[in-house]
Amino acid sequence: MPRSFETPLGVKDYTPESLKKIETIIDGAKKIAAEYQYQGIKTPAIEYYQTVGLNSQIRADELIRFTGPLGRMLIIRPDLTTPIARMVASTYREIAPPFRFFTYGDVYRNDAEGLIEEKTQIDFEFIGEESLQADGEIINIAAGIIKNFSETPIRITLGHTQIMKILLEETMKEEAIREKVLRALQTLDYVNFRKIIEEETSITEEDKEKLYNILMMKGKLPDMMAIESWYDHPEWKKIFAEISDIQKIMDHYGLGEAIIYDLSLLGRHKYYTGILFNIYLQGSPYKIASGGRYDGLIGSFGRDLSATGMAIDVLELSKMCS
Amino acid sequence: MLSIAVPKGRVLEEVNELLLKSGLIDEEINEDRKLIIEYPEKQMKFILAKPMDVPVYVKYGVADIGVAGKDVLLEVEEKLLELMDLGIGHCRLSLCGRANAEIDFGKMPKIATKYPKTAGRYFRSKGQQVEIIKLNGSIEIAPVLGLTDFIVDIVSTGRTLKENDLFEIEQIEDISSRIIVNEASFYLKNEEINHFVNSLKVVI
Repeated sequence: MPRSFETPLGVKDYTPESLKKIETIIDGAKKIAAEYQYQGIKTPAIEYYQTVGLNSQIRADELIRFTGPLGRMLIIRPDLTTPIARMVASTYREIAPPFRFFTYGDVYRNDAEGLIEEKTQIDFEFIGEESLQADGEIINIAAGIIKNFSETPIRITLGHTQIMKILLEETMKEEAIREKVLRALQTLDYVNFRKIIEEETSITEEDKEKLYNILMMKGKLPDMMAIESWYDHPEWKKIFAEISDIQKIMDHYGLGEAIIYDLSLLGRHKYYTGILFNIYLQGSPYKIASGGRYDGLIGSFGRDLSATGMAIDVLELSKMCS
Repeated sequence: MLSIAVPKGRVLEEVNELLLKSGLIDEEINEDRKLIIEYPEKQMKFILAKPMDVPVYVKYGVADIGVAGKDVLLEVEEKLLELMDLGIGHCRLSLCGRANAEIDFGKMPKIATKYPKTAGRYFRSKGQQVEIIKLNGSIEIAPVLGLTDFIVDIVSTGRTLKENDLFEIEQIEDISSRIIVNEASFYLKNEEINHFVNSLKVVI
């Protein structure tokens, strides 16, 4: 039996001082939400495993699951995006897009050590808008909220989920091997990525070079555009057109200099389908914000809508007060 | 300033060799002095850590880079950026037992190991239920004492096994030391980290 002072392992109480910083950040986010006309909404902390749990594509082991009153499997929400996707496909079904939604709250997962991982997130979603302007607006809002709170220079890493997908399709025939390579990349295991390619494929030296180069290349737009000539594939060309357009949009917001491209980026969520990004602050060992385009997620709830969004890790940001 | 966590113990000698050969340092990291050794003119500091703690320092960002054995990385199960195989600290993680020992599917075998999670995953993948007993060292004595039927442990030359009348039954993983990197550091200090890694790449 736990002692009377204990909380479950991994979660904690907040003192008035630490809460103050969190509230300052959330107030800042509310102001920006009003300025960009994002409507505040709230979804329940508990959802069905069969709907939000499965559609979130988060590993079942990571979800905190329990049995509800009617014997149905429930989860505590692991993110704020998937419940909003559900809501847009249900409550808002008859309402025409676009939607700009803003919310904040706590999300929960089991971590590898068997602890409960609790995060307080601020979440912005721009739904029903395909254009890159939407992606740019979302990144700009994330950067704006962070900059309002901390003067530490930000670094935005930017990638596109389709690059690795096309590159692997072009270089490897076997789907099972492609899946393995992608999984290695998803878990950031670059050593295994190379090992699978060396030992389980018979691809040409030239193709290997391409794969290894893209893995280690982190840089500015001109370096990335050199890769465009690798394939004539229209989808490939489209990705690079998108990347150079997003750079222009970010330049316009005054954030162009902060971007570093990583074309092998896949992101924390499997539902990302296009441009994705992470924001880091000098001195913080964790991601402060991350987001991206997820054009299939709302479709998995039965309404075909494109969308992009982001979440800020409020607690990590609150430690970066300057 | 880059901070690099290196493991105390048997692999440190090989780490020193690589670092000296690459020209990253001119004077070797000495284990019996301080736990943090600074090279201010090289903009580097080395943290001497217990091998199992290297991933912890990297995860929490007190070290940007770490040198960790694959055995340790498999056991901690943290999603850490594993950048490069250093090709040192070679050994294998193996299932070992006495001569003629076979896993009897009729009963639940007992396994002694320092790596309960990795051993658990291995037997799960084989569809075998086992009882795992965690020990912190001298794993080889468990079968000798009759505590367990098998062990899962690191084997390099096989001498310790031989001395205890044990045999390698099956190799589970190839082990070597890896460069791991804190994800945020990787992007925030990309040039410094690339310089560090590329200097090592030349001498591997």
